Amino acid sequence: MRPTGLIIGVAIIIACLVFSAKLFKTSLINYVPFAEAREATGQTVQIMGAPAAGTMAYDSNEHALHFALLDESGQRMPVVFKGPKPDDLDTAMTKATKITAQGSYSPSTATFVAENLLVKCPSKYKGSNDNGERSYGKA
Amino acid sequence: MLLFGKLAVWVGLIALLASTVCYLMAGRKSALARAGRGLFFVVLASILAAAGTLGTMLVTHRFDSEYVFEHSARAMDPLYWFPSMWAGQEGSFLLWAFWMSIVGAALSVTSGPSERRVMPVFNVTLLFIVSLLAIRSPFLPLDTHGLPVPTEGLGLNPNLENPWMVIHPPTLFLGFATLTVPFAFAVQAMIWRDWDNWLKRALPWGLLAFSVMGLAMMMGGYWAYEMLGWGGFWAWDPVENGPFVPWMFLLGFVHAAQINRIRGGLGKTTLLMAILPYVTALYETYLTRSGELDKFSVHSFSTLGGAANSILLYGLLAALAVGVGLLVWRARRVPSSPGKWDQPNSREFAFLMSIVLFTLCAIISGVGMSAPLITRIANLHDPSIHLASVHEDFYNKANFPVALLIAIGLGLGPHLAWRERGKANSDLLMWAYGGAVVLAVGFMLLSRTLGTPLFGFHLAVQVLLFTTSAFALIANAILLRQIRPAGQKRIQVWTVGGAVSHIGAAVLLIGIVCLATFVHKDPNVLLIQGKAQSVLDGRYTMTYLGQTSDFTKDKNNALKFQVVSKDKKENFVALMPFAMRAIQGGEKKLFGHPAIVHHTAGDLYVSLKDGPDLFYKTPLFQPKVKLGGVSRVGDYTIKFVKFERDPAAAAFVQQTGQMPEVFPVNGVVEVTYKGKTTTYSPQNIRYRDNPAMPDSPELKLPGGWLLSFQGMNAGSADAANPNAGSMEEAGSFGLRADSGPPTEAFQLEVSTRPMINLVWIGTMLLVIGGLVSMRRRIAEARVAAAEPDTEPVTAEKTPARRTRTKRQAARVR
Repeated sequence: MRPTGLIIGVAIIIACLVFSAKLFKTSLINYVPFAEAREATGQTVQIMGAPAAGTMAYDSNEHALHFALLDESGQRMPVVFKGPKPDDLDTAMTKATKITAQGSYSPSTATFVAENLLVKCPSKYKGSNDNGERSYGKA
Repeated sequence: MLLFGKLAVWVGLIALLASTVCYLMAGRKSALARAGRGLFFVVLASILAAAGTLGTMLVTHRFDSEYVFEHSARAMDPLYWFPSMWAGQEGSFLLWAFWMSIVGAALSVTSGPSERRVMPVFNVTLLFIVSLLAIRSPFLPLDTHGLPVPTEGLGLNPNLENPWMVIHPPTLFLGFATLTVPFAFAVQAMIWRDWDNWLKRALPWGLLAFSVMGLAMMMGGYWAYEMLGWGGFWAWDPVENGPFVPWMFLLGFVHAAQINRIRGGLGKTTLLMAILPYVTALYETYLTRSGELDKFSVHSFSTLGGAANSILLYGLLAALAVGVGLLVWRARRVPSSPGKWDQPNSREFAFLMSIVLFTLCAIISGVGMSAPLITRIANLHDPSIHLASVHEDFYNKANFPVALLIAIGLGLGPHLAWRERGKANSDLLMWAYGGAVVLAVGFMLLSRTLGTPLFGFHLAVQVLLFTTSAFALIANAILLRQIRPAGQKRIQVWTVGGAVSHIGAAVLLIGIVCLATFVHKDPNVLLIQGKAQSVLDGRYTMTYLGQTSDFTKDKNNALKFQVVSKDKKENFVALMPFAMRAIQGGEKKLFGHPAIVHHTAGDLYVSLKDGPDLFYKTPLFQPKVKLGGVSRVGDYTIKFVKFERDPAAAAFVQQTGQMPEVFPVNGVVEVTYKGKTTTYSPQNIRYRDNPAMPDSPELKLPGGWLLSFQGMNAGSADAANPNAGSMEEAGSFGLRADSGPPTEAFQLEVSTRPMINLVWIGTMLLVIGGLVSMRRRIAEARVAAAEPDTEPVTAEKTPARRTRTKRQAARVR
C-alpha cells in the first residue's frame, strides 16, 4: 500500500504555502520615509504626511489632484493623484491632518504618483462610524 | 431613559453572571439548571429592554443622548432609524449582544441534557460582549458644553441610507452569534469529555452560521456594488476578509463533521474547526476596531480606546488559549479512528483535502489582512523592516490555485466512493467533463466576440477555472438527479443540501470568472443634455435628458438619461441618484450613486466619472493643461505644446523690467479629434492696466466646437518650493459647443457587468443548500434525542467524579 494520497496532499499544501508566502513578500506595500520613496522608483510604496497648506489644486479634465505632503521633519514631497475625484475630496483634504498615499515616485516629474489615498480628518464627532476617514482610489 | 438603558445593561451583566454560576453548580441540582435558564431569560429581557430603549430614543429624537445625536436626525426617512441603531460602535455591540441573547435562549431550550454544560461556556462569550457594552455604553448623555440640547441630530452618513444597511448588519451579527455555538459545544465537549453528543448538536448551528454569514456577505457586496460606484462587490478589505475567514473555517467545520460523524475520524480537526470560526471572528473585530489598521484600512472603525480595547484583546487571547489549550490538553483523549487517507480516489481523501483547502484559503486571507500587524511586530525586532499592507492582487493571485483545486474537488469529490466501496462511477463524470469542455469552447468564442483584452496566460488561467467550475456544476447537477428518487420518505428530500450548495459554489465561481473576462469598459463618456452619445463601441446610445428635480434642493434628485441599444430593441430611461446631501451635520456635498440597468445576461453599470466639478450648467469646459500635458474633453484631446510671448514685448520686459502696455501670448496646442491632429495657436493679450485677462478670440474646431485660450500661470505658484504644486506653467483653455442654449453636461464611466447575476444566484444556492442541510441535521438530532442522550463517559477513577456520574445517570433515567 503506497501512501499516494498523503504525498499528493502534502505536495499541494507545500506548493500553495510556498507560492502564497512568496507572493506575500512581493505584495507588501511598504511604509517608507520620503527619501526612501525617492530611491524606490517604480516600486509601489506608501508614504504619509500632512498636506502642505495652499498646495491643493485639482485639474478636473486631467482628473488629477496635485498637492504636497510634509513629513515630521518638514521635508516636502509633491504628490499627484490621478483618478475619479470623490464628492467630498477637497473638504476632506484641506481639513486632513494626515494623508497616506499609495503609489510610486516618478523621477522624471519629481512627483509621487498616488494610486490610492487614505485621508484622515480630525474626528469631529467622536465615535462616528467612519472615524472621519476616507479613502480614494479603487478600493 | 439613558439611566434605564444603562441599568438594563448592568442588570443583564449581573443576571448573566448569576446564570453562569447556576449552570456550573447545576451538576448537583437540576433546579439550579432551571434557575440558570430562568436567569438567562432575564438577560434576554434586559438586552431587549436596552435595545428597545435605544430604539425609542432614536424614534423620539432624544438628542440629549450622545449616540442619538451622532447617528440620527429628524429629517431622516423612518426606515433609516434602523441603520442608526447600529451605525456606531456602541450600537453594533448592542446588536451583537441582542442576537447572542436570542441565540442563547434558543440554545438553552433546544440543547437538552447538554444545556448545563454548553450554557456556561456560551454565557462567558456573551459576558464578553455585554461588558464591552457596559464600558462603551450607547446610553451616555451628550456633552453640550453648557449649551441647550440641539434640536437636530447629525444624521447618518448618506452612504448608509440604503435598504441593504437595514438588513445586512443584523444578518452579519446573527452569523457571528450563531458561530459562537459550535465553539461553546466544542469547549464543553473538551472540558466534560462529551465526545458523543456535541457534534450532533453543534452541526445544525454550524450550518446555520455558514448560511447566514454567506447571506450577509452577499448583502454587503451588493451594497458596495449599488452604492459606492467602483463597480465591484469584493475588494478584500479587512471588513470583508473579517467574515470571510470565519466563513472558510465554518466550511471546514461542516466538512470535517461529515468525516467525524460517518467515519469517526478527524476528531481533533473537527474540534479545531469548531473553535476557529469564533476565534477568527473575534480577531477580525479586534483588528478592525482597535485602530491596529489605522494607517491602512478603508473602513476601520474609530479606535475603541483604553479599556474596551484591552477587553477585546484579552477576550480574543482567552478564546484562543481556552480553545487551543483544551485541545492540546485533551488531544490524547479525543476519540478518533485512524485516518485512511492514502487513496486519492476515496471520499475520505476528498473530504480531508477540502478541509485543507478551506484552511489554506482562510490562512491566505487572514495573513494578508494581518500584514500591518505582522510587519509591525517584525519591525520591533528588525527596524529595517517597514510597516506594510498587502496589495489587493495578493488575495486574488494567492487564492487562485486554491480556488482551482476547490473547483476540481467540487466536481470530483461528491462522486467518489467511500474507501471500502471501491471505485466511483466514472461514466457520469465523463459526461460532465465533456459538457464542461463544450461550455469552455463557448466561453472562449464569447470572449473573442465580446472583444475582451484577455490573451495568452491570463485567458488560459480564466479558461482553466471556468472549465473546472463548469465541470463541478454539471457533476453536481447529475448528483442532484441521483439522490432524488421518487417515492422516498420525507426526510430524504432534505439530503440535497450538499449538492445544492456545491452547485451554488460552482455557479459563483463561474460568475466571478465571467465577470473578470467579459467586462467591457468605457471610462470617459461625456454626456451633453439632448445630444446622443454612442458608448461601448456602439452597443448603446445614451442621451442625457436632465434632472428629475434639482440636485441642490431635492435629496431624491436623479439624473435621467435615455439608453437605446444598437438593435433599438431596448429603449428606456435610466436614473442615477445625484443630490446634495449633508454629511453628518457637516457641509453639503454631492452624492452620486451608480445607475444600474439589470439584464438577465449582465448589468449595464453607469457611474459618475467625477464629482460636482464635471457637472456643468453650460457646455463650457475649462481644462487647465500643464505645459507638455494632455487633457481630454469628450471627443477632443488637447496637448499644450508651448506658449509664445510676443518677441517685442518680451524684449521690453527684459530691458525695462516692466510690463509693456500690451503683452500678447500665444498658447500653442495640438487638438486631436477623431484621430486627426491639428495645431492651433489662439492668442491671449494681457493688458498692463487691466490685470484680468480676457479670453482669446474663439477658434472653430472640427466637430463644431470652439476653442479659446484663457490665460496661464507662467511662474511657480510657490516660489520658495518650485516643485510644490506642479501646476506652474499651465494654460487654461475654453471649449464650448457652438450652438444652442446653455445645457447641462456631465462625465461618466459606462461598463458592462456580464453575468453578475451568477454571483448572486451562486451565493443564494450556497445559502439555501446550507439551510436544507441544517434542516436535515436538526431532524437527525431529534431522532437521536428521542433516545436519551448518553452522558459523557468518565474514564477517570476519582471517587468524586464517579458519584457525580452516577447521580447524573440516575437523573437521566
